[in-house]
Amino acid sequence: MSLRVYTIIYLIFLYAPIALLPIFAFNDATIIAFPLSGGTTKWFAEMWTTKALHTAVQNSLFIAVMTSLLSTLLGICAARAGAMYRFPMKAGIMGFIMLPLVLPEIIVAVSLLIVVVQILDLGLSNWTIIAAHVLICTPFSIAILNGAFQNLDPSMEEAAMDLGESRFSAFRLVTLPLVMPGIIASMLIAFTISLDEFIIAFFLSGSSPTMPVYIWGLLRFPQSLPVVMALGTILVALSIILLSIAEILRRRGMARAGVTDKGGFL
Amino acid sequence: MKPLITLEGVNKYYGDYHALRDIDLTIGEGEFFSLLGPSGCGKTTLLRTIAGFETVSDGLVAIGGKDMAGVPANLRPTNMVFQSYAIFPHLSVAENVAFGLRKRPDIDKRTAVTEALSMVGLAGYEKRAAHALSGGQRQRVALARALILKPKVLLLDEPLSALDKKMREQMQVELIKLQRHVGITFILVTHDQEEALVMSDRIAVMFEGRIGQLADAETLYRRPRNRQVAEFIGKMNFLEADVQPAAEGYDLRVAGLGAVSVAAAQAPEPVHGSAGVVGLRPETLNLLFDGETTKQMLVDGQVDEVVYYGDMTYYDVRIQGVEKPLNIAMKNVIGRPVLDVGAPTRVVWDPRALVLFDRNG
Repeated sequence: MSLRVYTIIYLIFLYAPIALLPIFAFNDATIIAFPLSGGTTKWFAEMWTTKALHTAVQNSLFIAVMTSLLSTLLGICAARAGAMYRFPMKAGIMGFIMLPLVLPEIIVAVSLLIVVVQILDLGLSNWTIIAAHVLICTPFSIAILNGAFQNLDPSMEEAAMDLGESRFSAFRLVTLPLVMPGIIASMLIAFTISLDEFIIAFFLSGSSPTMPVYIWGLLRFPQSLPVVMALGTILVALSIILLSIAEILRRRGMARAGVTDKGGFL
Repeated sequence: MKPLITLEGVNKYYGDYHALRDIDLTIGEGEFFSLLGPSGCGKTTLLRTIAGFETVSDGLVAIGGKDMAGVPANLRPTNMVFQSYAIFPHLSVAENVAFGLRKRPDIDKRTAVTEALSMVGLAGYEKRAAHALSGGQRQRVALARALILKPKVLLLDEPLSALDKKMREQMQVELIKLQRHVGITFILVTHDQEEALVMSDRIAVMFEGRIGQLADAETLYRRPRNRQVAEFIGKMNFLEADVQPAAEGYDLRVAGLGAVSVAAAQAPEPVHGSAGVVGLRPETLNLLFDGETTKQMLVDGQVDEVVYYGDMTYYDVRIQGVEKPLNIAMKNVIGRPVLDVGAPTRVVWDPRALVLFDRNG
C-alpha cells in the first residue's frame, strides 16, 4: 500500500510540471496562475510570427541534425571495433569514450569555451556547438549501438565475404541492415539531446542563439512566458514522439536479429 | 588421388602464441577429410587459413595448384559452413541461399536455389524467414548456401556441435551422402572423434598446433602412433612393458599379463630401449563366463565396477600387478549374466590386439 502511494506521489512530482505546460499554453492570460481564464491558441499564433524564434529554431535543428549524424557515425565505428576486434587497452579506451556521459556539462562547456576561444582562437558559431554536442552525444550513440553490434554474430560478415563479397559490401549487405534500427535509434536520441541542450549552447553560441538559449532569454519578459509555454508544449510532444520511435525501432531490430532484449534506455 | 589442397611448412603466430606448427598436408580431390583435436589444438585456425580468413605467418597454402597467398576469402574456390551457421536473419531462406549468386549473373537464380534446397531436403522452404528455422534447418540452409556456388572445397567448422544427439547422427549420414552426391572435397573440423571416424576418408589428429597423426579411421583406431593419439581416439587400457627386440618383432614382459611376443607391425613407431607401454582397446578384452572355454590367454581378476548400457556392459576389472583396473566392453548376449561388483572373474586377451608404444615417445 505504502509503495503504491509512494509511486503515485513520485509520478506526480515527475510529470505534473510538464503537464502544466500545455495547460498554460492554451490559457488565455499573460499571468501564469490559476484559476484558468479560458482557452486560446493565440500563443501558438504569436510564436508563428516571431522572426527571432524562427532563427533560433533553425539553428537548433541544424545543430541537432549534424550532431545526430556525426555522433552516430563515430558510434558505429567505436561499437563495431568494440564488438568485433580485440585490441590492447580495450576496456580502458571504451571507458574513456563513455566518460562524457557522467562529466558535468558545465565543466565541459567552460573547458570547451577556453579551448575554442583562447587556445584555438576560433570564433563561436553553430559548428562549435555541434562539436561540443557530438562530444556529449557520442557516448549515448555508442551505448545504443553497442547493443546492436554485440548481438551480431561475427561470422555473419565472414559468411558474406566467403560467398564472394568484399569486406565493405559484406558490411553494407549484412551488418548494416541488421544494425540499422540501432543506427536510427542512435540518431533520434542524439537529435533529441542536442535539440534541448542548454548549458553548452549557452556558453558556445555566437551571436545567433539556439532555441533553448532563446527561451531562456525570453524569461526576462513576463508577457512572453505563455509563448514559452506553447513552444515547450511542442518540444515535449516532439521529444516523446522521437524517443518512442527510437525505442520501437530498437526493439524491432532485436526481434529481427532473433535475440533477447538486453539494454537500451527505455 | 589427385591432390587439390597443398599445405607446406605452414606456421601461424598470434603474437607469441604459436597456433600452427610446421603443417604439411595434402588433401585430395573429392576427399572427405577431417581435422580432429581437442579445443585449442589449431584445427579451426587451419580451416580458416584454407578459407582465407587467416593469413599464414610462414609457409605455402595452395588450392588447385594456385598459391593462395594474398588471395582474400571472397576470391578463393572454397565455401564454408560456419559453426553458428551465420544465416542472415534479415533475409528469407531463398535470399540466403542465393546470396553467393550476386556476383554470378551467369547462373539462373531460381533454378539454382530450388536445386540447392532440394539437395539438402528443404524443397519448398524458399519463402520462410531465416530466423524462424530450427537448428537442423539452419544447418541445411547453410549447406545449400555454400554448395550453390559449386566450390572446389566445402569447409565445415564443427557443423554438428549445436545439434542434439539424434539429429547429429542423422546429419552425419546425410553429410556423407551429400558429399558422395556432389563429389567435391569436404574438410570437416570436429572435436568429436566418433564423428570423424564415421564420416571421413582420412583424419588429421591435431595437438597443440601440430598434426599428431594423419591416417584413415581404421589405422587411427587400431594403430595409433602414440599414446596421445590413442587416448584421444576411443578408450584404451595402458600397461607398462619391458621390451626386448626379437627377430620378427618384440618380446615383451607386460605388467599383469606376463611374457608375450608381438609382431613388428604392432608397434606403429619403432621402440628404442626397453621401456614400453602396451595399449589394449576395451572391446579386444573379454570375460570368461562359467561354462565357456577359450584357447586364448587368460588372467585372473576381480570386478571393480559395472556399468550397464543395454547392448553393452562396461566392466572395470582389477588384475594383479596393475594399479589401474582394466576397462572391458562386453556385448550383452543371451545366457551371459551381468557380474556383480567384487565377483571373481577371468579376463581373456589376445596378443594380436596389443599396440606397443615407446614409454618415452
